[in-house]
Parts: sequence; C-alpha cells; structure tokens
Amino acid sequence: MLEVRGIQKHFGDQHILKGIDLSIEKGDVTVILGPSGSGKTTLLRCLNFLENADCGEMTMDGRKIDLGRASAKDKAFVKDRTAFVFQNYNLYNNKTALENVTEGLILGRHMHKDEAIKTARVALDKVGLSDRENYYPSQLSGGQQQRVGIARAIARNPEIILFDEPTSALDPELIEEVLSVMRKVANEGTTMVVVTHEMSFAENVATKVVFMDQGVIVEEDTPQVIFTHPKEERTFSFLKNIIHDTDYVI
Amino acid sequence: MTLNYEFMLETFVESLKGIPVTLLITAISLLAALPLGFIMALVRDGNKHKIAKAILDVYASFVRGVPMIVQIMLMYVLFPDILSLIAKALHLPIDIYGVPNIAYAILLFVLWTTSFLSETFRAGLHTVNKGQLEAAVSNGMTTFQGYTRIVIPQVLTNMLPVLCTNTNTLIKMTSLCFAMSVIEITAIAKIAAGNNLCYVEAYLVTALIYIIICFTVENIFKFMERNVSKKYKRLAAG
Repeated sequence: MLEVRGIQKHFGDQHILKGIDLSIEKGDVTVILGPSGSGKTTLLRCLNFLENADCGEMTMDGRKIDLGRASAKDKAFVKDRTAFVFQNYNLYNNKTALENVTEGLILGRHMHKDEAIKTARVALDKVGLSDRENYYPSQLSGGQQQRVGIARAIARNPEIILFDEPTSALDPELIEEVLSVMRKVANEGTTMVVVTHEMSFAENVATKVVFMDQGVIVEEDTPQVIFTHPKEERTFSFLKNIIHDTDYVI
Repeated sequence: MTLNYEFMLETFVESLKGIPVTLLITAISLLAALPLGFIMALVRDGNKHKIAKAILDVYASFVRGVPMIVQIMLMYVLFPDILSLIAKALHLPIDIYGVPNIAYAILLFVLWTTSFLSETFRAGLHTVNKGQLEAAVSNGMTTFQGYTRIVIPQVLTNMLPVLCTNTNTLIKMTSLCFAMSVIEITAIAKIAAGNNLCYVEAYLVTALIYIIICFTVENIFKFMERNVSKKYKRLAAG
C-alpha cells in the first residue's frame, strides 16, 4: 500500500535519516520506537510531506514518487490519502471541535457543508466527544483535544493515519482515553503508523514494531519478537531502559 | 489670559469639516495596509524570498528611522519631481503637478501604515503556533486557506489591543498632512488660528477633536474585543 525506499533527510549539517526503507500493508498498525533524535518524527513527517525528504522513493497505491522531486500533484495525492495526528494536537484555536473536523472536509474535499457536519459528528461520536462539538480547544482538556485531533483525521477516511507521539504532551491520567480511542480505530482495520513511547500500545496493538536509532532502522519485526527476543543489542538496551521491569523483556 | 470662546466654537464647527479627510486617509491606509502588512510580515519572517526580504527590511528601517514630518516633505517635494522626470522621459502626457496633494498623502500613509502594521503582524504571527498551519495543510487546505481561515483570524484577535493603538497613532499622524497642504482637521484649525491670531484656542479645539475621535475608536475596539472573547467563552460554563 505504502512503500518507501532510501529516504534521506538532512537538517543543515545533521544527517537525520540515512536511508530508510519501510513498507506498510493495508490494516497494519506499525509502531516506530526509538530514542529521541533517532529520526522517528522526521520520517513520519516525510511520509506526509510536512517535511520534504532530500531523496528517496515512495510508492503509494501504485503511484511512484521521487521524493527529492515530488511535484505539487504528488504531494496532494499523498496528503489526500493520509492524515496526521500531531503531538501537540494542533487544533485550530479559532474553531469549535466540530469546525475543526469540518474545515478540512469542506475546503480540502469540497464536501457540502451539511454532509461535512454529518461526517464530523460520526467521527466525534467515535472518539466519544459528541457532547463537546461546540467547545473551543481552549475549553477542552489535553486528552479531549487529542481526541478531536483523531476525529479530524478519521473523518477524512484516509488510507493511512500517521500518529506523531500522540500522547507525549498529555498528563498521565489522560493518556489512557487517547490510547483507547486509538485502539478502537486500530481494531476497525485502519492502517496506522504510530510513533510513540507507550510500550503497552506497541506490544498489544501493533502488528509490526520498527526500532530506529541514529537515522536508520535497526530492526523490525512483530511485537512479540521485538519485546521478547530482539536480535540487535541496541534494541535490547533501549527496551531495557524504557521498561524498568526488566523481567518483562526476555 | 482669557480665551476667545466664540472663536473656539466657530473653529470647532469649522474643523469638523476636516474629519472626513482625516478618516478617508486613515481608512484607505488601514484597508490597504492590512493585507499588505501581512504579506510584508510573512516575507520578512520567512526565508523564501531573500531579496524581497532584504529590501523590505531596509524599507522598514527607513520608515521607523525617518521622522514622519521628513517623510512627508520628501513625499511632497521630492516625489512629484521624480515622477515628472519619469513621465517626461517616457513621454507620458500626464500633469504630475496637477495630482491633488491628498493623493500623495494617501500614498505616503499607505506605505507608512504597511510597514507599521507589518511589525504588529510579525509579533502576532508568533502568537499562533505554526502547527495549526501544518495541520490545515495536512488536512487538505491550501497554505492560503490555512492563513486566511486559521492563522490570520487568530492574529487579528490576539492583536486587537495593539491594532487599536496603531489605529489611533495613524489618526494622529495624519495631522501632519497640513504640512503638505492637505486640508484636514489640523490644517483648518491652523488656518483659522493664523487669521485670528488665536493659536492657543485653535490648538485646544484641535486637541479636543482628536480626543473625541480616538476615544470613539478605542470604544469600537473595546466592543470588538468583548465580542470576540464572548464568542470564545460562550460555552465555557456549559
């Protein structure tokens, strides 16, 4: 469904992505793990053209795109088929929860307003925020804001939803409500790529775990293998540091 | 010292006739400078258009660094000469010196206000996190739609108090237009003062008129601020 080959990205002198190959099948929930600075977020942003990769190749739905020379049409093609959930939600502060969802449908998809509202209500219902549709982001908790962010993504009915550390900015007690929405979305068969530090999500929901370090993919496998028998030393030491209960790993 | 009250009343009524000119210059300057100021702020804050950015930086420094009265004199004395030289060189049958002074005043104030507001907008753009624009674009909006629907409304809302000060500053600055023979509030009062040798009275009247105008503007902005905050807080209790 989505395949990328040899993605490279520099920021100034810094070589952030050093040739990433990744392939995502329909229905996959791919979790990307790795220490900070390993390039996880940059990779995710390159998949949605929020960042332009220096070079590499992308194949999406049979369309081949040279990432170093992607045209505006290529980018629109990919953006139309993907949705992004941001670490700090990035809701439109001047719009209500409902408008946050409808805005992109009306302007980007040229959907009729009534239809967009209907679609948005279904999405808000799915994230459990039907009763908050007229609230502005400033009136919502972080967890609720992120759920609106997820509703905004699923309302577009994208082929892939990209999650960039969706729970990192949240208070611990608010993390679960977002994760449970994500679990629900995953169980419906939505293709997801998730950058996260939530190991329980990676272990229980992911169909594939990718471990990145210093701009390369060190190892990728099913969560069972990654969490119990990682092949690479770096994967093992990372997981050991993150999961204090070391008996749990291996 | 006694004041000539009769003169004051007459001058007050007479000076009111200058208000349309003052407001015309102000309104055109603001309307033109709102979009232009935004574009200028975006270019100066961005990294894409390096040459335009360099030129606009110099321009902003010029507007900030040169006293208004000097800018007015340059526009009034030097600019028509340059224009007429150009017209002559291109054999254009235009009588530059026939252009009414108010046209030069409006041009100058559009340019001045653009630079002035661009600073306000530059500050305002920093109050809206860039992620909202990213979200808009990744949600299928164009960058233009992202700015006009998401970013700019927030910048304007956040900057309302500053825009109020900016507008009043602009209104008061237009009083210098008397120096280019534009007959607005100050010019009318000054002429009356000269004819009757009642300077103190004339300036008191002028001060009063500007206070009334600026007070009104202030209240219009306060009303807008209240309405905006009401909109955002409407459901907070619910």
